[in-house]
Amino acid sequence: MYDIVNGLINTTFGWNWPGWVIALISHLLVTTLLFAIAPFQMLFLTYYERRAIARMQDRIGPNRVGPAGLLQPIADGVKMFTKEDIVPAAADRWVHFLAPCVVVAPTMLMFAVLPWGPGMVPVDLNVGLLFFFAISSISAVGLLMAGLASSNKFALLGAMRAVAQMVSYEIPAVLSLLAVVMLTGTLSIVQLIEAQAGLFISSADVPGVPDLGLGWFIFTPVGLLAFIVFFIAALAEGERTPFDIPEADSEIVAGYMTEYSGMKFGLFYLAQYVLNFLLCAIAAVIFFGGWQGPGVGWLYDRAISPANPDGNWVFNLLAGFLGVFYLLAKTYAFFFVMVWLRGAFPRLRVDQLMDFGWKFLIPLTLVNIVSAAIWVALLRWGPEQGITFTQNWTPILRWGVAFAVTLAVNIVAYIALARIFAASQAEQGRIDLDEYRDTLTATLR
Amino acid sequence: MATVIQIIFGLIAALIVGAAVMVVTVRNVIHAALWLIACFFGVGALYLLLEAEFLAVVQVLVYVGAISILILFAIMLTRQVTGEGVRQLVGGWRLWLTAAISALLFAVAIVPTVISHSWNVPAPPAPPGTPEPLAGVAELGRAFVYEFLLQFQVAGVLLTVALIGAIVIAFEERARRRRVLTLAEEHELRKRLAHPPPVEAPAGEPAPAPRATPISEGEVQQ
Amino acid sequence: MLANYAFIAIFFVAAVTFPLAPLVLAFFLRPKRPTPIKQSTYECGLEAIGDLRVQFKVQYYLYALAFVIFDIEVVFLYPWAVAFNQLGLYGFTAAAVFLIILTAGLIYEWRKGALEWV
Repeated sequence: MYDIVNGLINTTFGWNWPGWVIALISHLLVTTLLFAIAPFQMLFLTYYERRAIARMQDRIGPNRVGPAGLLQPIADGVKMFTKEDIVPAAADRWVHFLAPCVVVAPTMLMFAVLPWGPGMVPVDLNVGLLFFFAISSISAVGLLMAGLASSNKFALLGAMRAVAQMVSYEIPAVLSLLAVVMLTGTLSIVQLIEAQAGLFISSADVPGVPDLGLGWFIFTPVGLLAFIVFFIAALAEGERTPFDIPEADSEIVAGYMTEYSGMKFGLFYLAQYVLNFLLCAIAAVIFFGGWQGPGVGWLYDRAISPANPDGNWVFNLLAGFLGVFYLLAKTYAFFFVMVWLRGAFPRLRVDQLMDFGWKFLIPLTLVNIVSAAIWVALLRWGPEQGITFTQNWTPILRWGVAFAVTLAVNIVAYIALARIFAASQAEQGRIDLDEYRDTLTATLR
Repeated sequence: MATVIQIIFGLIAALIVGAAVMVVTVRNVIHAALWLIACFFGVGALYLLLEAEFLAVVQVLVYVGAISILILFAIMLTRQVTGEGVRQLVGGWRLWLTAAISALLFAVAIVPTVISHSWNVPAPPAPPGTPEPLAGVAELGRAFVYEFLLQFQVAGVLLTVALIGAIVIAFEERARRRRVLTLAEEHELRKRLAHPPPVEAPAGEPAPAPRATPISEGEVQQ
Repeated sequence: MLANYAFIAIFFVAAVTFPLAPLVLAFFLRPKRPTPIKQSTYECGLEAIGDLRVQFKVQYYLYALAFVIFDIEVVFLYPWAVAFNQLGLYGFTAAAVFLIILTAGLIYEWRKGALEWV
């Protein structure tokens, strides 16, 4: 963006404005653009979800407002604006007012590090990945504020559940990303995407692989396991079914949103869908190459970029469009999976949710870290790192051995941990039943 | 540029100090916790201003995202949230005396540092060609392993000890708790109580006929 | 480098104003007719019964504490993971010991039954 604005103002118009003014203008432009895109994503996703879930339930879904019901989200938005804002008399007014803002603001801030296409990243931080998840953890505070301020039992229960759930599934999410960080050695999201060029095998692992933009981490055993864990954790973080315990409407009304109406409720809704979009997008970016795909690399090589200042801007446009298209296609595909899960699965129980996170996903990610270490050791390390036996192997042999070993480790770990988990659950159920039987027989006597 | 940074620093510092003052003066414990979170966030912004981006992110991740939740949960474990009607431990001149002693102790700790530290020394110019000292995360990782290995491991032990300590202090043995069974489990239980499982019943056979004394609905309800 | 943070700062200001804008707009559009019944606490159509301040289970706190501890562990491990490519077997062993210590804590918690939601 900086380059474009710079080219327009200083080269085309010849005004010679100082760099910081141009930086400011480009920053403001990017910010405005992103903040305009985000609500539309939310509107589209609500429509998308309602139509898709309706199909699964053999209904039609919203189809009256506008062509095929496309304007339904707009109508809902208008409704939100014109609804009365009811604040319970017992509520803590200021905290009640601030809570939706505290939930929405971090979600929007997460857009700051999400790359949309080649060279199209708002800001490429060195610690982008960690920034993303650090910011996402703030909204838990907002949820707790909503629950505490409403002075409503359902709201409080919902908030406690929501936060306990987010807290439990943030660890598997962050630990599964740790494995990917070990593979790439960077926390910058842009470099993470660039490492996923190639064709099935990443170009970073084996030199000479043709670059079709398909060297995604999902094709490595480490990445696959990390993705599964991450996606489950993302479902829990985004409060999607089967992890929608915090707002289980058949149990606790609407959870922490119970006492919210009008636009404040709308903000919670917005935050939730934007968060779902971001989680799908970051899953696509980390494990499915983000904007990487056939053709993008080829186009971007001919475009204007820091590496190639005398390219053609047409290629910038084409690469950008294709990259954004790939990213959005992957993101919506993931969101479809989320909707599909909602259509297919019932809600979990709180104890099942907690057990699954702490007793299965976290051990799995810990094994995956060891697996990632094996991968890096076999593929990249030489004598100076303490690995000598791979010295004479060809890169492709190294890759094959690493693939086989990590795959074996991950499969064995998955089966073993699943058995341990199942045994522990069965044991737990048995103990509970025995205990309850004892008390019950004592009562009956 | 330097002035702009100083102004931003002033704003962030004001936020931190203001939030900290609110923490200790507000009567509602929840509000105090929220002000504390604002304070944590300000410290994160301060780190970012110092170009310590990893520390800034960690500050947000650990303090704003985790410690604050811990504090709020701890408040939820107590019954009294608003401070109305709570008797203060000390009041009047004794309060001021306590404050003075605390301030004095803090001054003893901080004043020598403030006096002995050489402020306003410009950073030595880096020789040309040195990379920007901002790729700090990898260096931090190397330092953990090579220079601060002992501290690194001690931190691990400390975290584990904290975990075990919390369990020892706060955890109730399960014998003292009762779990609410799901409908399916209760059904299963009733079946078991009504007909104790026969020892050599092969799987797949139809369930045996009800015994003489099945538990009636009313009895279980009691 | 500071330019990046300047962008984050701009973005932060925008992110904070973003939720306020629709709230302000809605303030002018929406009706405002509060009544005591409307403003009473919602409880499935009944009047709210009992004290709101139920004492929550200590389980919540234990989970939060375990979360804090694992969060800090993650924070320690991320720099190690970034530098992992250059660390070699020695670096791997160091982190493995660190991980084993923490996993021991997790196993203790599991065996003790503190991870059970009752």
